Amino acid sequence: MNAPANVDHETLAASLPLDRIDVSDPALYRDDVWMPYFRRLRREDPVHYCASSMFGPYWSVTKYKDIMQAELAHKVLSSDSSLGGITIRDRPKDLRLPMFIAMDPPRHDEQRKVVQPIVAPANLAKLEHIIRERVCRILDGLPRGETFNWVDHVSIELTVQMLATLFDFPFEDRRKLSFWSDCATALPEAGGVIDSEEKREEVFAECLAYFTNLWNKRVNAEPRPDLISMLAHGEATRNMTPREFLGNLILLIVGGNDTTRNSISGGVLFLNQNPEEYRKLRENPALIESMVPEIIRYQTPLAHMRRTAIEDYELGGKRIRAGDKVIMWYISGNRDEEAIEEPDRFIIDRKRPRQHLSFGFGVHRCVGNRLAEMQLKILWEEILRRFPVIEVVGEPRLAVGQRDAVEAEGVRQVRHRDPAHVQDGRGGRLPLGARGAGVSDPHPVQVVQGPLHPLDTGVQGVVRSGRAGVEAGRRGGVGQLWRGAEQRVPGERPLGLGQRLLHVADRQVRLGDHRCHRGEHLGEVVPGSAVGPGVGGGLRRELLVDQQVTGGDHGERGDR
Amino acid sequence: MPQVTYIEHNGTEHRIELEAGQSVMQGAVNNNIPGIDADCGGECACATCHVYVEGDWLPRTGTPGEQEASMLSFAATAQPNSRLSCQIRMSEELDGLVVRLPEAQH
Ligand code: HEM
Ligand code: FES
Repeated sequence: MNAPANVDHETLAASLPLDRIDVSDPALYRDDVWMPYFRRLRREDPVHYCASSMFGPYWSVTKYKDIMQAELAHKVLSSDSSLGGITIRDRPKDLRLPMFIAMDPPRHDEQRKVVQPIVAPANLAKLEHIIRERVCRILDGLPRGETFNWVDHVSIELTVQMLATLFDFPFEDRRKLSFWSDCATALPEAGGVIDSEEKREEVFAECLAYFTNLWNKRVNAEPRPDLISMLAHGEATRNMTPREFLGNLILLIVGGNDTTRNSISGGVLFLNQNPEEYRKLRENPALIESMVPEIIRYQTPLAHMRRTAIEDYELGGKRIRAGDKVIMWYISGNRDEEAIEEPDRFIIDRKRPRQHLSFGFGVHRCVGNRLAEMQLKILWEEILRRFPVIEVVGEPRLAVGQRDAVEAEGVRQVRHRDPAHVQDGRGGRLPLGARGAGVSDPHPVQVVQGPLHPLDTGVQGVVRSGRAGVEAGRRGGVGQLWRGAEQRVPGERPLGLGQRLLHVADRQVRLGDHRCHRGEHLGEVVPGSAVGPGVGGGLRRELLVDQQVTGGDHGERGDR
Repeated sequence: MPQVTYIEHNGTEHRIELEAGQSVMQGAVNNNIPGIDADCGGECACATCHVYVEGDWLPRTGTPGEQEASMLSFAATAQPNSRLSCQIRMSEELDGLVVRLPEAQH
């Protein structure tokens, strides 16, 4: 999009002193430029210590085999929430929620065993039937031959419906689930889904009350194969404290929500970016089987999981000390050329497609992995039955929310072609400016005085836009904007890692009360951000199309 | 070379020869026997190479170690004769081993 945003990260990644590389920087994911930094670490310093970051000091484990070793070392590398749990950000003690993903054996094992039967073969078979029905209904209801929002219509809707099924949750209330999930992971912020921790606790109380009601009904009924009934009847879970019940609910809600949703969105985008693979798929739908795990590898919905060393531990020749924070970067291990051939390519017919780290390994390996795969598989089977092409017509973007260092959104604008109208199977791309929803949306820009970003000389502001407002919860609601007067020469003083250029004003632009002049740079300060309260792990990537205030829109509207 | 027989959940049998030292999981993967996924490639980290050891072979294959036991304990389909096949090394002693595959791996 904006050429100057293409700072030469290859060069930067190769030339930075190793000790200055900080792969926890959210900007790397938002700008999708994390690859060269990890490539360098994998080669030169696979287990890397970063002495200072916005999350404090931490170790990065970047190679597939070292991550595998760390996964298996659960006796030394703990997931326990009292030590910091599984996210790169430490949570204040009183806000932690007990949940089995953030427990060590034996307690972890006991609780996990209670819900594991949700993916037992017989149950999966039953779910398959229900999911297929719902997928068909969703796909049949999509607008034809028009641009629509894939994330809302498909990714979110399908994921939420599946969650409702797993909990046997009242179907009409299902969007509560995604609301609770969003609240659980958002950083408190004015204008966001929640603006304070108290607000979060209020929402949690509402969630707990709702589920307690379901629990009470099911505890007195015969055991059934839904998650609430399982927890209510499970030996290890039936006497949970309300707080623990809540924690595990949040785990199950969040665990299956964003991750699957990102993969649903990601698949559409990857196929669009790789038309040759899309063609292979259309010619041979049996490839769905190997494509699904490849989507999940390539997307890596959870970029990392964290552990904390409880004793000194040797990994990749480095001495990790008791108390140190250890980050397993799945996103890097999934691109490790020593473990996976041509790892940077999206290839739907790999020989061993399930050889990836996206679900973790060892005792915490994702409970829902086969379920997530099944959802994607059904979705793609039904898509191929209906639509020759689903075309992404917006410019894909990666979004970084404030709640997660790297937040994800989804392919926002896609269009599938009505079979009756398809001539060559590709169709013409709509020019960016001709997008429906994106163009008609006002993108007012508001400047709020704030402290200057250390990397910048300009005015810092806050961008709010109609659509960004809608996105408030997920994206953190506001993106900070910087304004700089002079041309920055890429590579010389590249946009700081915390910055991202949105637009070089091509005419006078109004930013609230301020006027930017032609040639001036408008950019975004990638917010100092952090991850949610210990669920769903960590840095997430999601793909976003047409979401932020982009150049053209600014200019046109600001001028008026 | 020692032989192993894999019996799929639907009853289909596959008898293959496996070099001593190789794991029962590798035998299945190398010969494209359906029903063993082996996502982790033999690290005892995924439990998708789950098999039931047939008849009286269990004393000879041995019982699961600690890590294997905890991985297996999460498998909804586990039974007392369950093993992770990546943890069974082939030997002359195991010549004739028979394993059955579960309904699904997860
Ligand atoms: C593509 C989709 C998904 C991805 C990439 C994913 C990823 C992960 C990862 C990496 C872990 C390991 C955490 C750790 O090692 O600390 C995990 C654990 C977990 N996941 Fe998923 N997940 C997905 C879908 C689901 C679904 C659909 C469910 C719903 C049932 C789910 C439920 C869980 C639970 C309950 C755990 C905790 C397991 C434990 O601690 O023993 N996940 N997931
Ligand atoms: S192959 Fe993963 S546990 Fe055996």
